[in-house]
Amino acid sequence: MRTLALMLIAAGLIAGCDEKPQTVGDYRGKTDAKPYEANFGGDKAKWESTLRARNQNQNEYKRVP
Amino acid sequence: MARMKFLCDAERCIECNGCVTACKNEHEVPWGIQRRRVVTLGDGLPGEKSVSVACMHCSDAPCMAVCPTDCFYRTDEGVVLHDKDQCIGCGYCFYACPFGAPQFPQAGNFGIRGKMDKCTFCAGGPEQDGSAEENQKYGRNRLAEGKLPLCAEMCSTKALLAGDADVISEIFRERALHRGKGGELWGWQQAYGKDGAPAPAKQEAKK
Amino acid sequence: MKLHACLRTYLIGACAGLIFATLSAQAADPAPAASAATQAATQAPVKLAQAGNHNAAPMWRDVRHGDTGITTIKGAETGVLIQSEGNAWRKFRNGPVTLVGGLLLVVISVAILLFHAWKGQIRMSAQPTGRKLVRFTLVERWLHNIVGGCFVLLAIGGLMEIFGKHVLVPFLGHTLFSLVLQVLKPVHNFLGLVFIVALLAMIVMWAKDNVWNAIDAQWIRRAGGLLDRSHVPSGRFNFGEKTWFWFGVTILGLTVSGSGLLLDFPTFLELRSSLQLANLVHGISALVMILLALGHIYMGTIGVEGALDSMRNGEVDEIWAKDHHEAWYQQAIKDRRG
Repeated sequence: MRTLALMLIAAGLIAGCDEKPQTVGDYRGKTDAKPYEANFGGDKAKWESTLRARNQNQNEYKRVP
Repeated sequence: MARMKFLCDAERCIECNGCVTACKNEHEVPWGIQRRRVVTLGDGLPGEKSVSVACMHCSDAPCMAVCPTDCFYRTDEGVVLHDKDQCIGCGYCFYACPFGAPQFPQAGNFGIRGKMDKCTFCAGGPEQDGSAEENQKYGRNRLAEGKLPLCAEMCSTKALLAGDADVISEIFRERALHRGKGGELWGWQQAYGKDGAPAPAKQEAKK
Repeated sequence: MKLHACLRTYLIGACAGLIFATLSAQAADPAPAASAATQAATQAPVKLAQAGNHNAAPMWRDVRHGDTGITTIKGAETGVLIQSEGNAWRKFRNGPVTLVGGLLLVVISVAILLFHAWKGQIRMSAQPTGRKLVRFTLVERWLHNIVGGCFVLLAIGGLMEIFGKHVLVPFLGHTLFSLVLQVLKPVHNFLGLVFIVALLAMIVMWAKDNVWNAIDAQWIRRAGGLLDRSHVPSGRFNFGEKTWFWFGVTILGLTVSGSGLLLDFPTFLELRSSLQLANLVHGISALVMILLALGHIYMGTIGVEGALDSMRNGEVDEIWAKDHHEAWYQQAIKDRRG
């Protein structure tokens, strides 16, 4: 019984040593403010549309009418 | 939600190193640290190509996977950032990175490298956005100001694009269609996964 | 430059077995050998001419496989756009090395504890006589304990580096854990030098007594008497100790030391592929060494009654000497009579 428990603990430990899958928004315990909090008052949509509009500055087919 | 990516159009890059200079100046990066560099392939030969390269903010970031203290994190925008307070300067991220992005202020004898520094996609670090500490450690947080990475914004030929993946790949696709060639996307396959990022303009440009 | 080449050859030689495994890791993710970069550089003009022909695919394929260009940025390998060896290194380190290494650590530790619970301590065959024999001189004890002490500290640092993220971070949290590692990493890097010097001295000191001889055949045949608890005669060191000395301490110890030195001075190797290889050699040989050391530490402490005394104050009881090292005991008695 104790052997079984030990084996289970071992299996758990080893499984825990595998690479964790990486996802977008994986902050891993870090406390970083969202980029739209400091200057956009937490308005995510406004921040996104600002960036999207600004992104078009890199598109010269749009810059010259 | 926006997934931030870099895209370098090798057909347009003229190796002016403006992006390198812009980055160094914007973030007051110390001597010896190069967050961005321009590499020219076949210099002086017909078909010479230049590419501007920095941290690509990979979908499956090798640096993040090998860091012994797990100091990396990925924001909601897909930007790979790190906490310098938790960096021990082991250099493993530098071993693992395909693009040679992680930089160290010291040479590393006896393993003393100092804290790793790399491109932040102008998104700072875990410190309070826009604070002096953030600026000192990671450089300016342009993303929080509603701006995009300066290297791309001031690229003279608009070879380097930075921003939401959908937007910049659309810009690139349109451009490749206009010129009818150069639809290959350098580095995207490597950075953004096996089938996650096919070159957007490849098929259409061939026609 | 020549020394550099020699060291690279040494590294490649030291991990002959490892290369097979790395190759299999590379098979999953088509990563090229380091030499591909230089190969491609010579072929570059042809491919670039094709690129001018609006067919850049071959060129980008070469870049993917480590083709180098020129850049104004100074430093090692700044002209390499993409290095794929890093991913092979990551896959191998985070995969087999971490998982198999971790599994073996747990399994061997548990096996030793179970063995102890099953068989118990190897006791002396009779009451101690009180008559003592000098087993280790002061110099021998100091040297051994410096090597051992350094080894334990280095091992703790190394194990935390590879397993700490998975095992300790959930309990300590990122901040505390990274603070601990920030202290342990320089300790590891500087203490390694002390370890190497003491290790070399220890190898020289004990090499003579660890040469295999005819009496070891008995030890091998009876598996050291570990299972049937019989006392097998042997010289100053028995076959188990000799094996640990040559394989564990000498071969693995020198491999760990050599690769560790190279990692301590990364500007010397310069290339990332060399550093990755040195790192794998260092990690794997250190893990095997730790596994063997677990057995050595067990036998030297709770495994054998009276064994710890020989390292603590250098003296063992005559009964102990007769039980475990009979040939050495006879010789010592003869020497004493003069």
